[in-house]
Amino acid sequence: MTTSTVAETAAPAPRRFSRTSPSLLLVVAMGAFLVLSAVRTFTGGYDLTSSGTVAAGLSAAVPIGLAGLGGLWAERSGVVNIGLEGMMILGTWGCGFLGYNHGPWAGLLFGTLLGAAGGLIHAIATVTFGVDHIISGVAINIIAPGLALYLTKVTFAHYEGGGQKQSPPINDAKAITLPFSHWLHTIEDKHWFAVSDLAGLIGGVTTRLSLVTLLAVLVLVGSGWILWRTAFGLRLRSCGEAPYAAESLGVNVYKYKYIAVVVSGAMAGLGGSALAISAHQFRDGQTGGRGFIGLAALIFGNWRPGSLAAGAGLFGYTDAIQLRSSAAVHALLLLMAIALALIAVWQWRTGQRTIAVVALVIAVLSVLWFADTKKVPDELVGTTPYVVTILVLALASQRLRMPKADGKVYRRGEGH
Amino acid sequence: MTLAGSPQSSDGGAGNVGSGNVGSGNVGSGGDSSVGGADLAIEVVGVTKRFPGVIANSDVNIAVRRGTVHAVVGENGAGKSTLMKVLYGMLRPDEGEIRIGGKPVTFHSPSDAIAAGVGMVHQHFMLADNFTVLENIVLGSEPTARGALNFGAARQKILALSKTYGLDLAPDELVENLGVGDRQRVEIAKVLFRGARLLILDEPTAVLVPHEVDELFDNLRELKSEGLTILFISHKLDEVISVADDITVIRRGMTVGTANPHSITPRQLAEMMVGSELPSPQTRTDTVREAVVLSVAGLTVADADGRDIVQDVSFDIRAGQVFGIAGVEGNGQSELVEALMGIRPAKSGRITLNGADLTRQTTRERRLAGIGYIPEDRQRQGLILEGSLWENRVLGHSDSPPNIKGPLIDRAGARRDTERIVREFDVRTPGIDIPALALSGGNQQKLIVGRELSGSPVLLIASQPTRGVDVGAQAAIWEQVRNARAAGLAVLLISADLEELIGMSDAIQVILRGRFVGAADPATVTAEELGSAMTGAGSAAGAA
Ligand SMILES: Nc1ncnc2c1ncn2[C@@H]1O[C@H](COP(=O)(O)OP(=O)(O)OP(=O)(O)O)[C@@H](O)[C@H]1O
Ligand SMILES: [Mg+2]
Repeated sequence: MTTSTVAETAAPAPRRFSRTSPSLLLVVAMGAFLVLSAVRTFTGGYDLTSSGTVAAGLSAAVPIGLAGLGGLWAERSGVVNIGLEGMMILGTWGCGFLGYNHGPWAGLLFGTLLGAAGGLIHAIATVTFGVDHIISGVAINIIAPGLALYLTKVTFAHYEGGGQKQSPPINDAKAITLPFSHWLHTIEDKHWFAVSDLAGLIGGVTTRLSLVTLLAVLVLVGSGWILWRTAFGLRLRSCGEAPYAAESLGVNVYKYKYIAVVVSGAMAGLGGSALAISAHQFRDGQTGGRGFIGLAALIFGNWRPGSLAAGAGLFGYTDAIQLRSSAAVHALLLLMAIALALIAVWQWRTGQRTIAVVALVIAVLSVLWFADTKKVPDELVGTTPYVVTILVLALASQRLRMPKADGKVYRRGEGH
Repeated sequence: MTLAGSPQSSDGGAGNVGSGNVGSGNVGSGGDSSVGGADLAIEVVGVTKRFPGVIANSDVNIAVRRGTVHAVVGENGAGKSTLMKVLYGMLRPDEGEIRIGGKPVTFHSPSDAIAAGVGMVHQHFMLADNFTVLENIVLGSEPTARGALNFGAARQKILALSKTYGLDLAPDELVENLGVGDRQRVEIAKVLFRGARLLILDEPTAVLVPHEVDELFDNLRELKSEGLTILFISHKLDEVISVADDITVIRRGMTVGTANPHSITPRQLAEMMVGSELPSPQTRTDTVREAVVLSVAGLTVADADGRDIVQDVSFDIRAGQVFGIAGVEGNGQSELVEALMGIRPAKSGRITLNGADLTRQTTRERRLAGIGYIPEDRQRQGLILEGSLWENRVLGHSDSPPNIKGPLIDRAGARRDTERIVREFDVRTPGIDIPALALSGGNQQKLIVGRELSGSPVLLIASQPTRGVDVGAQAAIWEQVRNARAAGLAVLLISADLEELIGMSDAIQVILRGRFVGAADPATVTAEELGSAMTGAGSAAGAA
């Protein structure tokens, strides 16, 4: 059928798999960095780029990123997993349970297993019994915290250092510090434009970098590789895009969905464990909606690992700032305004006029707020990471495209 | 391989019925199947498959000789697709047996069938839109290297396949950017990639234009000469006769008999399918009136990347006129139609319906203004597959009687009107409460045509209105459209079936690369001339 030579020339030139090119990413990153140091110099919000903030931000990003990854696994196979929050809670509890006397790694392993168990329940409900994905997920979110609290009362309450709502302390996981990092601190303290900021960034990642964080990065890269580079990943994703096509090619859709959802739970459990380890104990209500933020990062990151990691990083970063200094939170207003203004320009150019206008309006309001006040009211400081992350992600996202069969109940042989 | 008098299955009883009256039946000898088994690629013996309320296959017998092209024909809902799904392991037969190379086999899933060398191209595409061509093709039998999918090797193999069979594949293109013709080729490549020895093609030509069909048939002959066996379904009987070595006719789930393509005419074959005589085609009458219904001026439409896919197109359609657009798939027809329906924005230009400017109206407003729309892909755009027939009747017409009473849906009214459509358009169904997905492809199409002709529209936009519809039903649909046209309906007709286009249209324009490149007079133009004009090779006869 060489036939369509004509149609071929007439049809638009093939649009290759669109992935942002590395050089473009580099330019964007450089630009963002320069803006960041300019704002830091101008406002004096030193914590915007201090190594402390970076380190704290990194460890705060880990649970979010892992929750998002959990969502990625499940949703790429076509199962919506809104139960991530609940599975994460199981992870925090599990980590507390084994972590306090067997060390953080045993805790991490058990937390991950409990998360996977949560995933298994979700898989049985949604894949085998065809329960609506949202209903099953919400049920898990309701049951998990109650279960964790109950278990806490029957276990930790009797342990030394434990309580009705918390576990005894967990030891820190091993952390690595690179030899040159104290040099960086010296440079950082000079507060030079760009140079000190760069030192802060690098210092943040090379000083007391927890192995848990390293593990999370490996899991992220590994997930991306498995899902997009292996035959297994292709099959798994095909279940989320066109399960009946996959079935017609002999792919066992049930099997892949099961694996995906169990891994999804494990990721959430791992995220919960990381959270418990960085807080040195399990505490009731510790997750604070991070499972949902992870899900938001997944959605606005267009179901791709790179963008979801960026979303998680943004949350971690703003969370760290919020915890460390209110001056920096104030400076964050200006930073967000600049970011939104840039997003507005970009969205305008890609034809998304409405989004551009909304972004610009919010940017202007933030500038006004910044100029008119000395600090952000304490009551609002705690919400900054949530607000900033959702605003930036939502306004920056482009043509979101969820897996086509995501959330749809699949029944073997009922394709058409 | 045996030629005439090919061996038939042992269970020749059902094979005899009805074949005698055309005198060309190549009917079963009733011989022992194990003797002929070695020559047979696949053999279906007494297969029965029931669905709730329907017997889709009843004691079906087919013997397919190795290295031949074997056609299966039958009316819409006769059970052809069901039988193919049984052969491909997607459905389990309730009774009967399938033999490959003389040995009985049981397929629990398509992977068993693939392992046995059976591959299938489905009537409705089985592709993941958001995957690349390569990903769609390799899925399920991926070449790997060191744990990872070996994209390089896969790409090479696909390009080699593409070259050998002229499939013109772009491995890294996203499937959602492809037209139906290209999708079809991807489907065929999927099967070849798996090294199938028996190819099942369910209506592969329904979406292709004539020269694409010719090339497909060249491909099939090539495959055949390499010893592959092809089992295919088509409603286009002349093409069946031209390409098939054997023909099996199925009527209402039963094998009626076999026919010899060398001695049967399309008309005889059609009568064998339907079991009665066909009405003769009526002669052309001129019903074109003065009043312009649809007027399109300087319409330009851009695709998602901002390229102009329809460029500066202008035309008028008058009341009682059928305006045909001929073109190879992917030359802007779909985008033009979507712009007319308000699904895709017009970049520039004006669309007016009976003098009212529609350019900025929403799809719903356009429908309310009296546009009926038969979309090219019935399953993606025309139906809610899980919804019942009467709910699908309401779809797109939920603002007008008989579907509503005040602000509420009028169930009784909608149901009554669905019954009417089922009756008038001969939709073969056990009832109007079954989901649309349980209808055969052709019957789904009839339901949509019936719906869109309801409520006396002033303009009907018909993309491939008879795609996948059997000859009898096709004639019935044409009849309905002609009647509506006589009553003043304006019709925009887009069809890959050039006979249909020429037979139905009062005026034809050829579209190429998003532009109208010439007019053709339907009274004088032939399908061949039109076909070459569509590729830009020659100008249509009677060009304006
Ligand atoms: N999943 C299903 N559930 C219930 N009934 C079904 C199902 N699939 C098919 N049928 C019924 O079985 C019969 C045969 O359908 P089939 O799709 O095999 O017809 P076909 O010969 O392929 O027709 P067409 O030419 O229109 O594609 C029809 O009456 C149809 O309604
Ligand atoms: Mg069919």
